[in-house]
Amino acid sequence: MPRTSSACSMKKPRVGVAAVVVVSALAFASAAAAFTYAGPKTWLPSWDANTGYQTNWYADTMGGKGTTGYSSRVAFIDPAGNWHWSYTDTLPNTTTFAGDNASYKAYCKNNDTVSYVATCYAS
Amino acid sequence: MKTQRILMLCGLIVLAATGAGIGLAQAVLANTAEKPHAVTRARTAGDAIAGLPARLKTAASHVGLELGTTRQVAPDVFLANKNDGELCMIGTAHGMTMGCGSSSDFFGGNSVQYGISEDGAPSAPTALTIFGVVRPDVRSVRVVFPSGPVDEEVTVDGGFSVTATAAQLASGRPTQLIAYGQASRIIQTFALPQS
Repeated sequence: MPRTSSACSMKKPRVGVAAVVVVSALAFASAAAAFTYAGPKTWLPSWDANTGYQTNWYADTMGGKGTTGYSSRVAFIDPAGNWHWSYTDTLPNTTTFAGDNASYKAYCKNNDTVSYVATCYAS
Repeated sequence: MKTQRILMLCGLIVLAATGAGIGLAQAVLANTAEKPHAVTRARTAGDAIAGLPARLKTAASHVGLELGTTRQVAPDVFLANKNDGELCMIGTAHGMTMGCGSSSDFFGGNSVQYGISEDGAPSAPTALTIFGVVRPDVRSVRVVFPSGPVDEEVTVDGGFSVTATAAQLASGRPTQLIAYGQASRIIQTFALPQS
């Protein structure tokens, strides 16, 4: 995820240190926060969703299913249409991790034969 | 008459206590059965995910995965806690993938929790591994490819991992996962997603 960078004046050390702490905290929060790109909603069989292309992904999750037994697929897809680290399971939270910093879109899909409620989020 | 009443009361108390005891024992057994065996044993040095790239370690930490709690249950298959209390099944055959759920009811009434990690489009994967964790009564699993079945004994930690060969992949996606108990008794059959 994009990181925030900043240069803080050190003329007033206390203010400078505080600024660094605040900016660092904001940067960490920004990096740590996953954003929801679809849902929560009821997903019919074969419904899917994806983000736009972006670099530096950490993880992509279809979660919040609440109970085990509903099949989901998550993956990262590059601009050429190639699928990477594609993963399917029926646990309540299904996650795949990006193996490098390249540009991908995060993807999720209900690949079960029944509808269920879920949320897709990535970081 | 008074003695009879006292005896009846004592009998009721004994029955109630016995019933409560049986109920408690059943609850304890049920909870034990729903938790993978491997997470209850001592962790060893061999349980760490060896050779995990720094980038994936950072990503794991980022989502709250506690890599210091991993238990290896089969080649490229691990269990680990998450900092929100969930238990996760991790596959490392193709990058890193995971499914997470209740630590006290991980199987959710099923005999197997499985995941399918792959590369390539779902219609034509270039690599595919099906892996998982089983309940104690499961002895082996069968993965059915269009070209034929692959049988795999589960490990002592109740894990399994089956990686498709090029010939198996060329025949198409696996269609079924079957869990077997003692004497090749079928415990549960899963229809695998085809997309």
